[in-house]
Amino acid sequence: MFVTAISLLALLAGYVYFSAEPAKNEPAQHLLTTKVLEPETKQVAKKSEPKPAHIEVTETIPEPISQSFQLLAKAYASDLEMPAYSRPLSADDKHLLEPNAYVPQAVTLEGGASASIVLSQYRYSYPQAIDVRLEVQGLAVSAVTVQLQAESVGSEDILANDAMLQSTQGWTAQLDAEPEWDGPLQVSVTFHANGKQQTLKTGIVYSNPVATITGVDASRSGGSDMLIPVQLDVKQAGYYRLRANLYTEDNQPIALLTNTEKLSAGTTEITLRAYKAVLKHQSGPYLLGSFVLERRPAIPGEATRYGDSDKPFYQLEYFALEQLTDEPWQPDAAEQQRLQFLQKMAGQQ
Amino acid sequence: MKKSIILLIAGLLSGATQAAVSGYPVVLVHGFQPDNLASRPTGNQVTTNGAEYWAQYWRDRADVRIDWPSQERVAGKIASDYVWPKLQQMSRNGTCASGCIFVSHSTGDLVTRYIIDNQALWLQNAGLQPLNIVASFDFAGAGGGVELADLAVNVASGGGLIDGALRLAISLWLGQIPSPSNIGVLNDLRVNSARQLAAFPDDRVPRLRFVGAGSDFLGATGGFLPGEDDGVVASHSSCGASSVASFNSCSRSVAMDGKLTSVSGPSSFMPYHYPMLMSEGYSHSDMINNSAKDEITAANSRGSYLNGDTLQFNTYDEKRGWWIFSSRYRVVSNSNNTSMSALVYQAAN
Repeated sequence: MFVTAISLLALLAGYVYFSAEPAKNEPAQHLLTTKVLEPETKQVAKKSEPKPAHIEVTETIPEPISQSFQLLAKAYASDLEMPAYSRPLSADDKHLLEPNAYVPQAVTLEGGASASIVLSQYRYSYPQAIDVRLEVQGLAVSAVTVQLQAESVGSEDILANDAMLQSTQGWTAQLDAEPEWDGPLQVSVTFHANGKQQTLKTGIVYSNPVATITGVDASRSGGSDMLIPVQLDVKQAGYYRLRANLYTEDNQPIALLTNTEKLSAGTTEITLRAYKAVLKHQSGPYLLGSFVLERRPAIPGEATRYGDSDKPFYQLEYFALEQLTDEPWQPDAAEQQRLQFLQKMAGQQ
Repeated sequence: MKKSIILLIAGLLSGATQAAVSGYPVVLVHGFQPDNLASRPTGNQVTTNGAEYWAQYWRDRADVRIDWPSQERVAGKIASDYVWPKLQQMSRNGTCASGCIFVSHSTGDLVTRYIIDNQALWLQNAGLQPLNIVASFDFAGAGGGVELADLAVNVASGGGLIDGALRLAISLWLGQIPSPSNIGVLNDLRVNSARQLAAFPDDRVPRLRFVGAGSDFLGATGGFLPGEDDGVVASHSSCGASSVASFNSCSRSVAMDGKLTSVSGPSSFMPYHYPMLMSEGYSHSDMINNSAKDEITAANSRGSYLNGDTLQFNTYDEKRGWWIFSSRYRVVSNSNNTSMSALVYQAAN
């Protein structure tokens, strides 16, 4: 019996060793261990049709770290094929498609209950109201109130204070905006249950807009780029970065477009560029939206301020792509140096 | 005498060679230090803490450290009082003139992202040369936020309904329950706030991600974090995933322990974030220490592994009537006896 078991193991190990087909480029020295999993013979005895035996094989594939860097260098080289100002977008790029998303964070309470503050977005622009919802699981709560105050330490002023009302969606309140709301704010929701009081807190950013997108002019060609002039009304001069997503007419994402300019106060323009290869033969009409307009900190310690847009989306008309040239994009010197570093780590240089 | 001078020069040169990754100077940016919330260090104490933070491995392999106190905010005093003097110093000394590598741990990832987004504008405005940052190595990066920070802010608010296990987890992590007025950088680490801070720098610096799934707290914190975690940071953050979700790996075809299998992993990453190495056994603090804790696997995948067919290793031998369940593990060579930080450093030198 003992000899039979040994023979079975040897046979199976031999079978696996010779039949395993190594993946391409794998190092030759794989480590194999084999074991019979469970006493299948008992099951065989009980059933008229014998169940096949199991064996488990563990194979360890050693891989040099340079292989990981090779893949990285390849991925980075691929990312550099398009200009930074015109990045291809896919449906997976959720953070870029929804740049103002708020992700609720549940807090575990006693007795297996939980509660979370739910907001529709992270950044708000005056005069947007803030819709606050409290979601509670596994606990009956009462006397729910919401407070808004500046997040900075030592700021005691209450900017808003309201009772929350119970609805089918939980406890809700709408905080109507005041012009002086500005900067990082703290939303606090207080409720009572089981004779105890609990406060939950979360952070948002509220802006009295420092600039506003007022329109988008007709696109024109500029070498290999479709140029999209965006009209702005700037209230505070500064270094502005505009990000916008370009979509097909039926809302399929195409590209994230970015430009940074030093702008003076008043009516002005910032031009976004869509690189021809990113457009993938799509000649419009397009939609331009999901705007993020930032006034960047010019010196350390200065806060980032935000602008807004008159409309969430602007339609761009058909654009004849034949006007654009086909020259391949050349990464700048710093980007090429970064790629060379990764290639060196991969042992390719 | 002549011989002594030659030896001295040789020693200095070898020292200079050692403090580099692939010939580039190394800049260290440490993470959150919980005890700072109570001790509120300033001046030399911040520097001493920074030196201690990196003492096990990276301190003597770096040229510059950016040290900052955790009771402050990233875009506030951390930027103006601690980051800015170092940026000016590095620019004036030409530390990064030919390129440099940033090595970050934990919240240092978020601080580094803020630096990458702003350093060029700030230095140019001050009439100084911007830094040429070639790449960053981000160990246990918290740039996608830390759920424990959201929870800590809520526990700090002092309500009576907080779950006891959560309170214990927060006190294990922080060493205490903080007061509402003493939260500092935890505000920036909250998931929504972190993901909105310098969310997408224009500069295409490759961010290389190194990820662990162990725990410094015997698993007490993991129950409050989505998916795999290193005891402090969830994998959505350390992998650099573009969205917040419960991921068990940085890859969809390789588990944290190296097993080649279909696993829940991100479908997209923050721009220019590339998962490199991961390991089941490394905790948050192990990542920058000098002890081998477990075998390490490559977090990126060859194209062939992305094809579901190649993950089906189970075969049925009809002739013999046996099922052969085959498990393949991919491990980085020498990772059983070399720490993750040392593996990366050695690969570059």
